[in-house]
Amino acid sequence: MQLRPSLICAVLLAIWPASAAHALEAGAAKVDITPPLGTPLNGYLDRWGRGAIDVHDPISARCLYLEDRDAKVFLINVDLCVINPELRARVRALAPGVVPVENIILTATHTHNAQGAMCDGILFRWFAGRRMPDVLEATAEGIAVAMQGAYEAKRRAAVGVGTIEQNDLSENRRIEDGPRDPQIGIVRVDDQDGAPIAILANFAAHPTTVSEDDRYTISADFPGAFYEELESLAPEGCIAMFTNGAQGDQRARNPENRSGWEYPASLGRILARRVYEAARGIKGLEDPVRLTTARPALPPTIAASFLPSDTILQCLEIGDAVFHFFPGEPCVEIGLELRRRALERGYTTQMTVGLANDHLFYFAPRSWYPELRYESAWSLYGPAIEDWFYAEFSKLMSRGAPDGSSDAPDLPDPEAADPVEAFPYGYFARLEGDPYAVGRIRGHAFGARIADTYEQTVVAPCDSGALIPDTGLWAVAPPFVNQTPLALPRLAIGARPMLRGLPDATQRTLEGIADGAGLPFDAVWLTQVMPTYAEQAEIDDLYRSPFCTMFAAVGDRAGADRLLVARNLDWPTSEPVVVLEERAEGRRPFLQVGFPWNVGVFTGMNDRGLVVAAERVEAQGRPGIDGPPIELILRRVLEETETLRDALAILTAATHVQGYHVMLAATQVGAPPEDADASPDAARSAARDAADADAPAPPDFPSSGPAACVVEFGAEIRVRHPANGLALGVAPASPAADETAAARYTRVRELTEDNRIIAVSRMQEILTDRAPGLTGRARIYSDRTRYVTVFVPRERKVFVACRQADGTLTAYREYTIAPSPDLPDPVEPPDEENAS
Amino acid sequence: MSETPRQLPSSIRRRRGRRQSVRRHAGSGRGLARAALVALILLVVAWWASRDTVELRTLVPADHTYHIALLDIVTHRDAIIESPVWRALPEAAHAGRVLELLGRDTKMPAWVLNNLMGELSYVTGSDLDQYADVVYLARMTRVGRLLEYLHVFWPGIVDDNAGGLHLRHVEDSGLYYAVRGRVLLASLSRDALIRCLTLREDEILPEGAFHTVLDRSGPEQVRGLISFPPDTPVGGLLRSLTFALHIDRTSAHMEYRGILYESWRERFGRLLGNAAPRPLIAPPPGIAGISVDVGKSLDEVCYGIGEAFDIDALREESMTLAANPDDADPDEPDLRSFLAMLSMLGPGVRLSLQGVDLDEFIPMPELAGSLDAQGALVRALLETLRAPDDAAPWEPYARFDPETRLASIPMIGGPSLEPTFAVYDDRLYVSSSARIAHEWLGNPPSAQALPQHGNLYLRIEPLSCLEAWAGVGRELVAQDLLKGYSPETFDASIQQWRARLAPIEHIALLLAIDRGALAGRISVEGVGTVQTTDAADTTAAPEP
Repeated sequence: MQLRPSLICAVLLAIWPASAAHALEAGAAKVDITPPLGTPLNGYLDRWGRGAIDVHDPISARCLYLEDRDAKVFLINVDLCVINPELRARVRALAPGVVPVENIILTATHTHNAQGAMCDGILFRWFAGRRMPDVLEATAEGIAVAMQGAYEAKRRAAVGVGTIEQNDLSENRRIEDGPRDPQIGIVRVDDQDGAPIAILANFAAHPTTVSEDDRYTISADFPGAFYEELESLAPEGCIAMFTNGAQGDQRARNPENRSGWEYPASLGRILARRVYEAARGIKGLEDPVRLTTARPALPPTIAASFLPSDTILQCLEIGDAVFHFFPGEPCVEIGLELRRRALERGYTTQMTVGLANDHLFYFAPRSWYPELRYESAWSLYGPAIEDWFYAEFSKLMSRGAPDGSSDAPDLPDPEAADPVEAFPYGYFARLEGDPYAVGRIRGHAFGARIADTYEQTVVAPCDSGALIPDTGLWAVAPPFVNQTPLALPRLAIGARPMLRGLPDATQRTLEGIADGAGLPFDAVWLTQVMPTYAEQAEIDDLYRSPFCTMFAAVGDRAGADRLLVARNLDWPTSEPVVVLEERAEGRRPFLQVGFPWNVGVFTGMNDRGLVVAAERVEAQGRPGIDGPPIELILRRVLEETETLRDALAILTAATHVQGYHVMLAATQVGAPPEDADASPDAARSAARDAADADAPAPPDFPSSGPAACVVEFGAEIRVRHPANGLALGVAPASPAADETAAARYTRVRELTEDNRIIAVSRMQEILTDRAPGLTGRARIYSDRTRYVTVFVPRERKVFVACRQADGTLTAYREYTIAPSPDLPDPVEPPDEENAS
Repeated sequence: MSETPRQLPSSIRRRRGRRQSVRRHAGSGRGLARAALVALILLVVAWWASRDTVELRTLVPADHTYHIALLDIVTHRDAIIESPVWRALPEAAHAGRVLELLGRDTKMPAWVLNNLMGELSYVTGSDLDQYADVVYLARMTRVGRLLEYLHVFWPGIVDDNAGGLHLRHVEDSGLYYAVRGRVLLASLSRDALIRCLTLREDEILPEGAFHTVLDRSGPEQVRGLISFPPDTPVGGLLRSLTFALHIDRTSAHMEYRGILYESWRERFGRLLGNAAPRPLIAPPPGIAGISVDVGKSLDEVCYGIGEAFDIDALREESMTLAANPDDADPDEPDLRSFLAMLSMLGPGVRLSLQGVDLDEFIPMPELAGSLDAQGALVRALLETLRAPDDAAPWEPYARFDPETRLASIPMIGGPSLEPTFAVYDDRLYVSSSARIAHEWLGNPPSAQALPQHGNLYLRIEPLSCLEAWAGVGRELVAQDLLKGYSPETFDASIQQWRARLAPIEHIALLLAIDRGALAGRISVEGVGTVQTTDAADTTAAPEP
């Protein structure tokens, strides 16, 4: 058959656009960048910057160049521990100018036995050793030569992507049988003759298989063995490449149980064989290549002095496969979640590539944040960093979520409605929404004040040295060294275990406050725990927790109200008082009297009329730091419980708490536990006030109706019942009462003695008592009293008055918390008989 | 008398006219003579009025703690103001204030000032803390004395009778002054001035002490004597200090001699007893250096320091005890070897700061120096240094490399944190940096003797040291690790210091211990007058 030229042209024209659109070209090259002996190796702090003494296998830079109509990309993997900014900048400067620098993807395999020596920052030199400009230059030049080589080797190509599973090559290094990534991602790039140009493996595991004895020997670790084996298996000219995955908490296993250099060799060999075998089955296509690069602002970090405020994120799409490049070490949980989200969007393959373009240390999932694990300790951008990555990567992926939703959080607009209403010497705010939204609105409303409190209570004592340890390197640092930038992350990491046991909702509220205030999460959290922290160190009592006066009248002593709680708060600093009504979704609403910054509750009541108030009692010991501070436990009590017994169960489980007394008062006692003897309050000994030893033995809580007790957190937890219908925060004659507390509470007792019924107005009078014979903290209303409150739980009402500049009180303001509409109101109607 | 003009007859007018004409001719000669006579009388009066009737010394209290003579200060005023010495002084020395005073426009012609200050000025007082009782005395020239008489025409100067002492008070400045003979006394303290004017015979500074302060031994412009009360910081160490200071446009030199308190002589007995000036070797070239030789081996120096500063660990008993533990392993390098080594070292020790390696693991000063040594013994000892067989190369054991003949101790970090040792001739060369040791390999810096004898020599190049510190500071400030500075404020501060120190080439101090006294010389050399040290004799002002 003879085809007419016009017909041939028409056919060619018809098919040209389609084929030209995916006219993929690719090239690959590798360059040896092994540094000279004596070069310090990067990765282990305990190398102390000493230089290499031997070479086991070469260090290389490997580059794949991809080009189609829409994208030109250099994908580089380098046998380095990290890509530091100095190296990135130098590589970009030396790179062949054939692609925009944003299209250079620079990844490190994370071998811990390759050159450091390239960091300017003094702190980073503790890992990377002395700065050697020659090494930096040679490494960057080697990478640039590899890029040039890959570019010059470009030819018509096809690319295929696939995955295989493994169950024996990696494991979670922190949690036995914990999460791990079973996927090995494979990219095969062939030329038009089907000869492989490059085969890339993506596998999540720390290349830390070189033995302790060879710690100062240069090696690419198991990726080095992988290259060697794969290139020996593949046809000549194929470049083996390796990128690491979400390896933050992943380590390499030793499937053949080898030792010494045989361990990395064996692992690399196995990996190479499996990858090559799988790659042979992957069909190369002229799939479109798409790379998106962004430089978003990072969440604020408490380590801002040495970590950047923005970073490079890249997302590479090859056909139906998507690659996410992280500027550090993501833990596997984040990688798996990102994969799930990507697959939901219709991608068939997702690979997380860690250690790309930068090294911002680790990225731990939210659930890890309270744990003192290496990875979570070095995760310095807050617990919400995983959400940040999901949201930012969602912007870079070309395919949207199937339901059209976004991974970006649906943020409340704090400007939309200003919830804050000012009153003399304080504010009232009603916050509604999910816990994060509640926090975010609060953070936005009080951001400047929270930042100020953080500066005063955390940063200033670091600057002054009060919070700087006096041991180790801290103690020998020359006086001109500013240790605050180092001390802040150290303090923050140390404070994170106190998040343990905190409800997720509270942590989300804290995250919201941090975001709303534009502060690092760690800064907000340190501000919360500083009252407890300050008790651990001998620092200025400016940061100390409250010494207060609190007492409750129960039953007949409270008259028709049946239960009244009086409480004033003595606080070292003069801050505006904030009355907050928090109505977070899924949580019980509560009303808190506090300050702009404190998420924990020193004084509060929930919509069930459950009242909590805490008082620091020094004689009972120092507050523990193995769990949340007492005020955050009290917040949980308000948010999660309705009855006194439920509240007690939470409180008595907080065995780490010491040095506090908590007034607990509720309109409902709640049902006794089935095993009464095993109930926490019974187990912790329902102790009678020593001073009331002659009083009739108090019964256990009444079966119904209001009740109050004082939970004493000392060497052991004791529950003290009211005596004669009066519960005092500290029993004056008990060992817990120091001289001032004894005087103060003796005075309370004197003032209430003649009152068969103690009414609200009488309580208000007592709380402002300034007995002339008493001074300082021995007075009920002292020079440090910041606010005075009286709770009427039956009516869910609180009267609040604030201290004025002249020391007198403002008029009482009355706040009532409405019951949650979606929950039944168990508060009983007034008892006619008692009321009479 | 009537104001009406009188009319005389013409004859009378003629007679008178002739008489007057004769008188005019004869009077021109007589007038000159008369004027000369008046001038002579005035001269005599001036001579008499400006005679030097009071000896300056008789107005100086003997119990004042400091006495400073400014010799011919007016002539050298400009040179002093331009001297780089002021820039080298710390802020606390109030050098700026001195410069301000010296350079202040007095609103007087220079010749007036010169005559008022005369050839001798003397400053004295007792308050070494606030200088509240400082009294300035000057022996005016005759012209100066006569000019002072004109004070009545000077606005703002009022008489202050002061019980017949006839003070004058310059109201603007609060200054009080008085004149006795040709001696001008001035003070901001009226009481101090009055005291100087009312001294009893036994309260006057003795002639010997006065001449100690005054009598020149060289070209110096300032001489002084300071007696330190025991309760002052310096007074805990020195009983008195005499000094002679010469300042010119490019340099300043001060010779000094301090007398130690007996208690310090005892305290430093073991370290410095019998010490005498010794020949000193210059420290190796560097931005700062020190050379010490107290005539004792290093083990003795250690013991001496232990006793002087009450450091138990350095006392001989403690070190000997520690060096001979019951469970000593004969194969392990121990304190005994170290002590043996110390006994082979000294008495001369030189050390210099070569710079700072900013690229090191942490910015690291690079120190290098040499110690006098019993060469053969120390060499033999170094050659025995070896790490245990199972020690890794990076473990911090001292070891000897037979190829380079260097001994070194691997530490943390890179080569600038690797102490290295080598013996050449009778000296042990030490360096905190392996790099320097390799640079010196086989060719250490030659030993150059300093021209003067002494026991301690210090030399510093302030600008080079500043640049070294600036490098360290920049490394720190880049990560907010330098207290109180941002990168911008730090650079601005360094720039200020650079401008201050640029004219100074180096500062050197020589100290010799001689019969319970510390004597020596401090030199500040400006750019362009580079000298390692001066060859001038080290004779300080004699002990009072």
